[in-house]
Amino acid sequence: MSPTTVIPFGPQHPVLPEPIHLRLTLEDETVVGVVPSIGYVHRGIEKAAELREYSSNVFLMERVCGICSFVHALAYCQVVEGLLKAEVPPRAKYLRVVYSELLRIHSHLLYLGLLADALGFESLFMQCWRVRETVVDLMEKTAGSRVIMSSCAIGGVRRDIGPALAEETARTLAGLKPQLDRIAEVLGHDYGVRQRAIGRGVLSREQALATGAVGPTQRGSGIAEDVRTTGYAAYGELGFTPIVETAGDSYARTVVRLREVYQSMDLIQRALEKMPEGDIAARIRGNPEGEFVSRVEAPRGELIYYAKGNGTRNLERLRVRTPTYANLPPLLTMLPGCELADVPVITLSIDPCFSCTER
Amino acid sequence: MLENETTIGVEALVAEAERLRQQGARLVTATGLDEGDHFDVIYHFALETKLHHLRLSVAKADTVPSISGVFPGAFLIENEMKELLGVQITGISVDYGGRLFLVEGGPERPLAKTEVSGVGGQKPGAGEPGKSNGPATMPTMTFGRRSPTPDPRREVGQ
Repeated sequence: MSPTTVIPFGPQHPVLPEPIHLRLTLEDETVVGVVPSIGYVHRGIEKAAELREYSSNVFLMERVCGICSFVHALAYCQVVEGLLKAEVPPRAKYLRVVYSELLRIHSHLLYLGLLADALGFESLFMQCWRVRETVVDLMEKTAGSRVIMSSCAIGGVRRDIGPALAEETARTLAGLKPQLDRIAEVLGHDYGVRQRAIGRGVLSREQALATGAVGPTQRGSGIAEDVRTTGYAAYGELGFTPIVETAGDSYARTVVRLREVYQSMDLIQRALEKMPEGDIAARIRGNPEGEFVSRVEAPRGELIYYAKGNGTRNLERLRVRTPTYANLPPLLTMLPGCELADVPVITLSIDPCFSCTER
Repeated sequence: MLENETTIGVEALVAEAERLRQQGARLVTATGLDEGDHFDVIYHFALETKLHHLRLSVAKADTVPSISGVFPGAFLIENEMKELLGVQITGISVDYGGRLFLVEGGPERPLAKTEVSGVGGQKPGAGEPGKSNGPATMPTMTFGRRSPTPDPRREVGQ
């Protein structure tokens, strides 16, 4: 047996926009052990949520993550609506789908760009982010903000999408498809991308289940699980089927995200077509009491909120479990056996978000 | 009380987790609640599209066995609950000794609403500085960050 070497990966690393430290144990160039340490960006948001009134927490929870801001607000609003037994107007449910899917497109394109960047494929990185820029502009036009959308509210949404804006959104997304086709062609055929991603960081179906993987990390290992199949918001009326790949490697996870971009475009199209007329928010009265759990499918996977109310304006407890938190144990399963040079791309392939994870 | 919730005793936790694992359940997360004289710990599992919850009530001086031997992904959740709330979980596969999120000299058990009694006055996770409270799996993990020594550059700047 070769002597082992311990290599620190992170907390600052070129492929990671956020900090995590992986303590890698190597035999020659092969990883044989890994221990993560996090805690660099812990902000105590769960505690902060107990100290503020439940109605003002929407803005706080959106700031758990800059990339998936809307879905955090949505999960929080759903959990409070569940405690208050409030009914959301049908139009608001469709608008929640539109905002959620715009967010998913921008997040997945961000990932595809970061992957290309990690592979040293700068032109592909720029192409991905050029397409993403158009989507972020759409978010600004519809929600009023490029990153923190602030369009979700307890009881509905804050901003409507009128007929003209709906038509422009659908037309813009349709115009992006040919650009996305070109990105898909490169990702599908480029020798460098395939060599660095196919067969790397394999997570089997059994390992994905045992370690609790969620989102594209889980679906890339052949498990057809997606919270959208539970029909929250208006997903139950839009004919949603999860996208699944079976290889379980970095490439499979990437392909799931790429295919989900197309799927999200179609979901937005259908939601805008089927969206009923009516109010966009219900009037909310009372204070939350009891316990409730809300789940949504964030771009990185299942996001779960647990809340306990005691009849006052402050929640007694708010618990948040984000997708990257669930995908860290699967990452620790993927890394042993890989080459040191593959660690950055495999780590990136779970699309990690540590601000989310640490809250 | 949540939908699909079962209340069990602490002694049945590991066996019940194993039974759920064999049924194909996925561990979603666990939530710890400070209920004054005791903790409530709720384990959330997903079985196909439905959630199932196991609730334990545990006296603050009592210990809860780790389920990281059944669900390997539980180690982060259990470390967090132990560190931020003070639930005394034993046998975690990787024990961060109260230093997953918090730093030395910072707040202890920020999510707890009352003090833990019956454990010799020591807060969980507050062992000797620089030492892990956990088993020998990570005895020397000090994370190499946030040195308690003042940064000399700050003094120059001031």
